[in-house]
Amino acid sequence: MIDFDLDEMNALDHRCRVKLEQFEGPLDLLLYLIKKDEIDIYDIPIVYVTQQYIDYLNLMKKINLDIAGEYLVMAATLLEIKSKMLLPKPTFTEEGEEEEDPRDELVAMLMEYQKYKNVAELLRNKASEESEYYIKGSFPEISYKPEESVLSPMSFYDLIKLAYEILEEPKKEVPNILREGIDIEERIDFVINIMKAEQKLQFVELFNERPTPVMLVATFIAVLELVRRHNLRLKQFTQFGSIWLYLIENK
Amino acid sequence: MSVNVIEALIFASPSPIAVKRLTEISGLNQKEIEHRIKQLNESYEKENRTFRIRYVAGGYQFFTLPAMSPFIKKLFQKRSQPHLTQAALEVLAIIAIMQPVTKPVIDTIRHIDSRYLVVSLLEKGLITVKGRDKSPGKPFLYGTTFKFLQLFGLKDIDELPKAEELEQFFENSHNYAIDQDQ
Repeated sequence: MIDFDLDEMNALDHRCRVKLEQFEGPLDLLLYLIKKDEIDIYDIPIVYVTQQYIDYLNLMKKINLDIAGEYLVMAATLLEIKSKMLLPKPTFTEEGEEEEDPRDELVAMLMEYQKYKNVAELLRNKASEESEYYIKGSFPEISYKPEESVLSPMSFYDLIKLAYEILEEPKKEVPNILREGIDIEERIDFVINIMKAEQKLQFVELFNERPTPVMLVATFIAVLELVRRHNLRLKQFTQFGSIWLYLIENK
Repeated sequence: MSVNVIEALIFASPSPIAVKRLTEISGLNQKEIEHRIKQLNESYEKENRTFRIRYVAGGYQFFTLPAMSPFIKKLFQKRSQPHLTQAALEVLAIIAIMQPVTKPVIDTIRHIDSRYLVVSLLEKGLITVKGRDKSPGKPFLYGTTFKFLQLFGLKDIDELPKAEELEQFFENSHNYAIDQDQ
């Protein structure tokens, strides 16, 4: 319904070139538009304002702002008023009876909302004035700024004792972390020697204790290498089952 | 003598001390108490003291003067005042004036949903549930709190104009609606 080509509209006129401010709702946006152009709130040029309003919605949409449904309801209301204003006035009106302006309801809404915006402004000023006064005493919800120094009070003897403790503290042994040497050739020799003794063996039986991952991988590569050299044959009878190693006797 | 009693009571009280309490303890009537406090404040002024006794949120308390605030601010990690957005202030304004009031009424005035703002104000302790409305769905009725009065430095809620007085109130002030001050 309100899907226009914004660029095209921009080319047509410059009304869209307005600073996008944050709005608190459709009435807020409308009030902004009215104030911006110094419009008399009791005589709103509904065609112009409706166009401006819709331009804004498109702008908001264009920069991917979420447009709350309430904004669209207001757009529909504006369009309804606009269409009512375009209709010819009834020729026969009872004398003395004041004709109802389709804009009346909108004006009332805007005025009502503006009143509370004024109260909000009043409150803002009050809070700002009040913030300059500080109540005597302490408030649990207020946290004090941490003092510059993080040191706690300490006697000379405490300090000496601490220094002594630090000096006397036995030097902690730094564990020597050894780099695991991986030598595939060495693993090949190891596997072939075992296989010569055992003839057939499960892969896991190559290790007498829990092997490190590196050891496991190196041994597995060694086994694969031996398979490639036709020294070994591998068999796995079931999926994820044990891998059996068979020695191929030298030809 | 009695001047000093009033001073001591206000000084020692951790929260605003109501006139009623001061009357009970000191035996002075309201008029006398108000007069004594005026005297105290005058003497503070004469002696160039940095604090005054003020009546805020239903009672008397000592406050430092605004001129001291730049220094006192440095004492505190953060401001004691919660940050309120424009939208939150609007909702708070409606609740303050119309209380007790339901969320549907707030929404009607603002023409946009205020649910998150109401929740946020509840969390900040500036409003509270005062009961339930008889209208369909029995919505909660909201009203302002003691903390609200403190935040805005209001003596009591009657310091704010009534809903029906608003138009006149702002007509007489520079805040009036459609003056083009923007």
